[in-house]
Amino acid sequence: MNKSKLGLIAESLKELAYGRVSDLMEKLPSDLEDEDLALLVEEAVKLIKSYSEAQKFLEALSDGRLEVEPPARNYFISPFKQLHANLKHLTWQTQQVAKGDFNQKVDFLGDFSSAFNSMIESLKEKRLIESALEKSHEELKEANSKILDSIDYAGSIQSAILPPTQQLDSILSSYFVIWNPRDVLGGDIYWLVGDKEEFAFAVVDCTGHGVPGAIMTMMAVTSLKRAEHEIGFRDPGALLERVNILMRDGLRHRSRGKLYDDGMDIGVCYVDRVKRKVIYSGAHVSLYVCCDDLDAVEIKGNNHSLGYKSSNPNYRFTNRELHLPEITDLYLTTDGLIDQIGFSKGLPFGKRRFKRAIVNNYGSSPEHKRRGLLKEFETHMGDENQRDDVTVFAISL
Amino acid sequence: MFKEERSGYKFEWKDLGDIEQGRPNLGPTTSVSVYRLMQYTLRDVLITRYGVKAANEILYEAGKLAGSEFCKNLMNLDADFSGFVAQLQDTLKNLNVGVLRIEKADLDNMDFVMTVSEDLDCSGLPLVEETVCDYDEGFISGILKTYTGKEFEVKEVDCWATGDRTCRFTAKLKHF
Repeated sequence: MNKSKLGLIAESLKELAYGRVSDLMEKLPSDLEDEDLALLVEEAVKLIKSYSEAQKFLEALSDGRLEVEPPARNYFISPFKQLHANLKHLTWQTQQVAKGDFNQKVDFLGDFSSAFNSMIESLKEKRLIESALEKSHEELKEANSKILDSIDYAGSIQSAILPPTQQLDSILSSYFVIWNPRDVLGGDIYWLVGDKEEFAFAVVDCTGHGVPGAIMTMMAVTSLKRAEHEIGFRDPGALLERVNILMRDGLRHRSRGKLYDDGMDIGVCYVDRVKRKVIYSGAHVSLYVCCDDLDAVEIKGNNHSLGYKSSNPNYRFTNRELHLPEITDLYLTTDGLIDQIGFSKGLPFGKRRFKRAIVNNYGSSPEHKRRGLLKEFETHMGDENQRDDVTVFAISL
Repeated sequence: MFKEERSGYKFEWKDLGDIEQGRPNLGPTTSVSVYRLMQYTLRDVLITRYGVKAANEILYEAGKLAGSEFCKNLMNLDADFSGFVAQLQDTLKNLNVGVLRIEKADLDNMDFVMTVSEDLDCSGLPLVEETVCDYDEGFISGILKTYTGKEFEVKEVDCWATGDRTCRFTAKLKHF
């Protein structure tokens, strides 16, 4: 009998050696008379139970189920309990790192410690770099905001040097202006002087755009006003010659020793409304004339800019005199309109398209003309960026 | 100063003395065996005089006082929890007390599970099927009380002496 009980125990232990937990021991009676045998059975049952608990725990651990509670007082799994504790701790630490806490450090876990700790160091460095970048970004944003505020303010100052609407309305009976700087500030301006019977109007295209262009426009207006004060506005050619000298003097003084070479293109048109006489003089700017009998005609200016180092101070600008029939439109424009590249074919807006717009809108109201020309221009430009400042100053006589 | 009768604890950090001055040649460290010699002989006498339960309570209470003073004097109490843990880990490691690791930290419910490996009190002890780190339990509860301002019940659930390679402690808010 004892032999068969021993056999059951042996069979159970054999199963255990193969990693299987058998229930053979349950077949043994619980009240064994033989004390030694009872002790053996008791210990074998403990062993099988410990093994069974350890097996379940290790299976969970190998599946990564760290929430499993390790069985208490089980000597089979002591090193694995330590591994379990370490993995749980690493999980917690990784969660802290994910939350941005880079104070975590792993000690005494061999190569893993150095790998984890150097990862934390890298993340710390990355965080520092990010913080520095964020700070720089904020500083740049602030600086940019100040610059933009400053430019906006400068924009309102620049607008103030343009002829006010009240002046335009008091001198001109029928006119429109398009003044579209590429940026907040522009290198283009328009100008008007005189009274209802006699006046001169002009467009000016200074070197550059933005802030440098705007500063140039201040100088251009100052020079124009001074020249007009000295010699009047009835001789546009002489006016340009005087402005050329003033600009050259001013700019030479400003850019002494520098590589800058700045100047401007301009078209000035003198109008005697009573005599219906026009005298035009231009520096790389044309006058476009449209009346009943004519298509839009271009009256070219001289191929000579003002104020540049290469501008000849003794250059004589040609005055072109015209006598106008009833209802004549006069257009001055800077090259920003003519040269604007179109979105679809990459071709410039061009003089032909400009003249067509002038002719198409002839006879309509100034607002209609302005809208018509702008529509044509914007359609041509499409999604292309505006390349230059655009100014058109048109009047009807 | 050390020996007068008292009704409340009077220990202050400065009572530890100027070890650098006092031990210019032997330095501030000693053998773990000497530490354990003191603890386990003291435990022996306490059990003999007052019984197991009272001895355990005295060790826990002493540990709690030590943990509280340790925390007040060596830790930055303004750190957030994970910063505090990192600092505690470092300090315990540098003082060769043990390797602290957090397994669970439920800050909403103030429920923690932590392990201490290579623990000063028990690592390497013979297997006795009972946890022995009563002093450590108190030490951890003292630290947590000082940091959080709340009373904790700290219980050692696994110990080297119970056959586990690391001591595992649970810490829960004490309900009175």
